Amino acid sequence: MTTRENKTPDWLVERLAHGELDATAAAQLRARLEAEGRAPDAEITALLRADRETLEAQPPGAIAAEIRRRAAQRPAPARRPLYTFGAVFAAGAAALVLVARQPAVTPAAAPAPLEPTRWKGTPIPNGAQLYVYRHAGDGDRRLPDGARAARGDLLQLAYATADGGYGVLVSIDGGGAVTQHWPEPGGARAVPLRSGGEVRLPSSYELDDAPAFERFFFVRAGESFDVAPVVAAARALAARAPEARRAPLPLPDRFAQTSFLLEKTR
Amino acid sequence: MALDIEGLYRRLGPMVLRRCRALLRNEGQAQDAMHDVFVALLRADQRLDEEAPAGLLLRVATNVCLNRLRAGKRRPETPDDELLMQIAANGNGEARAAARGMLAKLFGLDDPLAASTATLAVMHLCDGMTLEETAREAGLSVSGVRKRLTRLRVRLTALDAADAAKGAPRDHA
Repeated sequence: MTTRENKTPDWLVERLAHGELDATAAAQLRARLEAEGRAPDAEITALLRADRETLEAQPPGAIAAEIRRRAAQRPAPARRPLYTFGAVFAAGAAALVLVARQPAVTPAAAPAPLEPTRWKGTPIPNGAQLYVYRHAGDGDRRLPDGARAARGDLLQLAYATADGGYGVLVSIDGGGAVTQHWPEPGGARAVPLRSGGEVRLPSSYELDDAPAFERFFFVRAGESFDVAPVVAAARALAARAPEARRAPLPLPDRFAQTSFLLEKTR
Repeated sequence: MALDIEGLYRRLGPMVLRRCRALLRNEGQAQDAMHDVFVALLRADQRLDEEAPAGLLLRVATNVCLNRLRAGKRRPETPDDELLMQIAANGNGEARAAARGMLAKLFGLDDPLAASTATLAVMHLCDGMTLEETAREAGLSVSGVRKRLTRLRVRLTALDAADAAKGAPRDHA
């Protein structure tokens, strides 16, 4: 392997050869290769020829059988037990997985503490910001407000506050249901927040089959507060379609709130 | 729907093998690693984003090879190998960090599907991608990639300083 500070990376050429670049990116990459005195079509042809030679030497049927054999010998590790928010925060901030409207279950090994990502962006509106990431096989991708999502999507939630304080995270859906995410269901008081950066909750949230939309609310205040008024406000808003998609929670001004909407695709 | 592993291998297996050969410089290990890449995919199955399978497989192959380099501690043959081995060795810390993430919870510490900092470092420092290209390929923000690579550089520098204090160059053998 050689360091290629200026040469077009083979990685990108492979993706070009496999047709994964959009038209603009492909044209740019071809131009870059040509500027280096390389012939894109010839390089692609050479890769495809090498592909054929490899497949002749190592037939797909035999390789696939070997892969399946190895996979059977080394079965996937069982999914780790899910954490409860209560256990996590009682332990001083830790990992958990929430499954929508299903009770969190078995406590697991003590998770590592949260690591805030220092925030360097624009000022946080209303003193609180909520981020939602969708988990995919190759990592988490931050979603824009209003993004489309589907049943079964695993979402990673994160928040940022400029001033710390206390927070509650709830969501409402197109079916009028309200879900309390944080603190865990049953938790009666807002949770202390970390300030100064984006803090990913060590959690995922699996979208259920509720219709139309899922809207998350992150509610913050400088002083500790009860969860119940927030849940009540969420219920009140959830019952008022179509305002439920955009209107704020009916809460007193002392609460800062931010929301995040996901449009359900099925 | 079950993953069509044979079809995926037919389409992208040779590319994965090329990647493994480039990183491992050992035909037997590369063949083994190539199998491991597809085993990892088979295990992940329905959690795959198949919009860009070549990009995904290149990342997985990189992770698998780094795990192998870390476990095998092959002696570096070139300056680039030295860098690669340093990155791989630092993956231990990354694995601990990854444990805080959901992927680690789902797959285990050395999750080959995770876009680890070590993988990002290989993409940027060894493959020669720009930060923008690295971020795009990994599905991350440029600032996020920069931040993670900066942390890695700090760790590498600290390791070098520790080795220098001992009066001996790093030996990866």
